[in-house]
Amino acid sequence: MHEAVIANELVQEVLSAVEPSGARSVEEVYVRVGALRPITPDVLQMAFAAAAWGTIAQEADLQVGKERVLAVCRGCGWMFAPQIEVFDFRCPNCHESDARIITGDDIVLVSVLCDTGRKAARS
Amino acid sequence: MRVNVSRSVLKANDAIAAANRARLEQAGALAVNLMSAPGSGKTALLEKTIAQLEKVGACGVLVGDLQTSRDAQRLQPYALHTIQINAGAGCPLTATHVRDGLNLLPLDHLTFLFVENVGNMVYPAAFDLGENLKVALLSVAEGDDKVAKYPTLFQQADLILVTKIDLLNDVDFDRSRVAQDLMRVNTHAPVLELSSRTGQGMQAWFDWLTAALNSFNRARKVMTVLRPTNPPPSF
Repeated sequence: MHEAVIANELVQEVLSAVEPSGARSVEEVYVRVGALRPITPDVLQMAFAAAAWGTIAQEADLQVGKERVLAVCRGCGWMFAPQIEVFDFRCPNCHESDARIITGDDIVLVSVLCDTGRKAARS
Repeated sequence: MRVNVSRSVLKANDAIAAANRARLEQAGALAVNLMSAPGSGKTALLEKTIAQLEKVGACGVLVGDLQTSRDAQRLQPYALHTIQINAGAGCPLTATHVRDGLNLLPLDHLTFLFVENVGNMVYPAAFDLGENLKVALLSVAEGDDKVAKYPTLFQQADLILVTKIDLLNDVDFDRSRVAQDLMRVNTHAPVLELSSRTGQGMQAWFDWLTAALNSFNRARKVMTVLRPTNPPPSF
């Protein structure tokens, strides 16, 4: 249940992101999960609901998007997108498997939609 | 109202991991994270390793498990500084667990710190703990298809240990399948075959650790030269 650890962090991030706007409730949360992360969207949504219980984010709809994997070969410096469906990390240039992951290993909170109780935000 | 955030949810863990790494580096303790399925021989390997490394320096161990302190009890006779971490139901070790463990250890007296991760092949790869090196274990009794099934763990590894090779005659384990799968996943990490029980192949593992310690200390020395001990003069 590594999703539970992630969900707790995520709720903290969401609450601190909307705090300056004085939001009354959080309607939608959008996260992008790297394709290498062992995360199941359904499980993350369940864990998020549990972690957000009792906060203004408890009704929020969690949208989970995917981030593709990009890597750089440590051997020759070539940047490439590994074929992760077959987990092939071979460099197309030098054919070694010595990849440093650049994207696709992270979980990013992209944006939060919240209800501030105001029609238009003051600038 | 939409609030754009664009921030990593892992940054809290990664910040603690970076602090752990800095603390260990300052204390001069090389941190090695052992990751594998349950029962692949992490504890047995450590029993033999710590006894051998005594000549080089003192070892500390952080043992992660869901329940019990049995592994810590097994290791206590070998390493004085053994801390059991119970990560709780279904939880992998995070940088916070390691930080709490480090608080209980006399870091300045340690040369090696081993983190025996919770036995699992998926989640240990998911969090940076602040270790210097990751070692993935695979016992011949588990089968030769583990690299293909759990590639993330092996992709991240700095060293791959094939353990329990004293059982090679009793199990169907095809080395060439492992080698073939590693071609796609990781050709950077050396693969060492060993048996903690018979001692076969153990010397290469000790040599690898000693070499890793030497390059760790060299890097520390360079950092000390580069890092100003006094604040630069202000004009």
